[in-house]
Amino acid sequence: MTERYNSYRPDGEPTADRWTGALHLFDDSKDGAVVAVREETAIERWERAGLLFEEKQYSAAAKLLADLVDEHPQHTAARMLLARAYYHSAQLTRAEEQLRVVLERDPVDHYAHLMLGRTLQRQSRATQAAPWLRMADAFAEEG
Amino acid sequence: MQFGIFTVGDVATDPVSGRKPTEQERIKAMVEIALKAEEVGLDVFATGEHHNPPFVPSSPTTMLGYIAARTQRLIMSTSTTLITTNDPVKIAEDFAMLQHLADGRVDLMLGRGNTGPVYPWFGQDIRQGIPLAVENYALLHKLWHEDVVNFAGRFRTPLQEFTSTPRPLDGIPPFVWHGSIRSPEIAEQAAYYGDGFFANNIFWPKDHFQKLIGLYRTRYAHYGHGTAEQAIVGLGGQVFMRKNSQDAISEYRPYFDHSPVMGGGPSLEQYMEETPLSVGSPQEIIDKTLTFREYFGDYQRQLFNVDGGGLPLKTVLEQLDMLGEVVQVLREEFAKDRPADVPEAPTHASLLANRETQDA
Repeated sequence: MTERYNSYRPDGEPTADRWTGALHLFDDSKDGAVVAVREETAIERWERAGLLFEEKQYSAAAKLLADLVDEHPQHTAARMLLARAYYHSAQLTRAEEQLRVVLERDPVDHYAHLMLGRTLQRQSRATQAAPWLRMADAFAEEG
Repeated sequence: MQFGIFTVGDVATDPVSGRKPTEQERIKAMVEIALKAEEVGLDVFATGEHHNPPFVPSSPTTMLGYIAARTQRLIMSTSTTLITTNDPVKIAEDFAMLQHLADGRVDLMLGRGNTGPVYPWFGQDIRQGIPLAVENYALLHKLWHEDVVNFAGRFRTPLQEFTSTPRPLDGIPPFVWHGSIRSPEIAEQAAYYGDGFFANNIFWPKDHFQKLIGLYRTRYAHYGHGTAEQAIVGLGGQVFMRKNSQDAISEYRPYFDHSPVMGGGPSLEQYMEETPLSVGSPQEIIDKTLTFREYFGDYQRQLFNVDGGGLPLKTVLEQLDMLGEVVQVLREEFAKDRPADVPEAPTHASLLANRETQDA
């Protein structure tokens, strides 16, 4: 929890998620008795991860998303965002791992095919990448 | 509107004379400056809190008590009181005590502190700064507003059936301002409690503060304390004046260049473009200060730093003479076009009067 209040952009400004998070700081206060610094719900962490991702804070987003995906393994959107966050922070093995899980659960996810192809390409595994990229094209045409 | 000065109590070598005051000289100079502030018609004197050289004000209420005894009208305040590393019980006690001695001429501005090592000196972790500030203030608020307190949190041993003593003067706690340079969480906290928000913007450009103050105002209204325009805002700036603008700039330049915080980066002229630092003639200071309202709305408190960077006491007292005159003009000018429903900063007297009207 300590990271959430200590995240800053490169220019020294607090990240966007801190601005939105601040609005929830006193949500649980009753009768003026403050429940100091409440735990975030999963939804709040999901939203905050999205904000961090938009601001290109990919490693920070990945940390949040990794926990979310552990707690909610069925949440494909979170897993995809996690894969993309790993991809953009050059954690390619982890990106690949997450994408393969997505594809096991949803073998026709076009974007996951595309991403896995790209992830393999970036790891200089072009031969392995090729079938995934072909499938991505095939699904794209049908869509 | 309230006008005043704040000091951070830095002990610095005067870059022009090469002389460095002793700690006692600096401490006594701070007192002289406070007395002068009252003499020239300013409303507020605020002291920072620091726990390491090259600073001296580690015991703010001790000094403010001394000043209270030697003044009649001046409001004693802080810029800022550390809400992170001080025990909230001690803050509650020290400031209630000061209230009684000063007949209520007390308020305080809370901050998290900008010196990392202070946290471990007082048993805390800087990474917990925000949660600490939120929890500690929740306790401080309770200690002042409730006679018997039960409190359990993450950062302090629990309190059971505890009464902070002395109770606030007339049962009215000192008005609290929350100071923040960057943290939206603190703006939210100020809004939640209906407290004031102090933006000490001497080191940062204005766009940054517009967002922060905007958040405070919007949320102040959200929590039902009044309209966004009625929120209680304070600003901090820094001035150096001479009758002639060029004289001010050339005299101040070595102080700027040698300043540990300001020097070695953008030039003095650039710095003045981007921040509230005002170096020039009294008229220029007036003109620049009047623009703050355009960026931040009608506000309640304007404090100036006039004694930093090794300026000799004689020079600082001269600055205060000029500031007294400048403030007379600012009072008149700020009053023009100020909407009637925008309140003044709460004082002990005004809070007492409000309560009596409500009780009646």
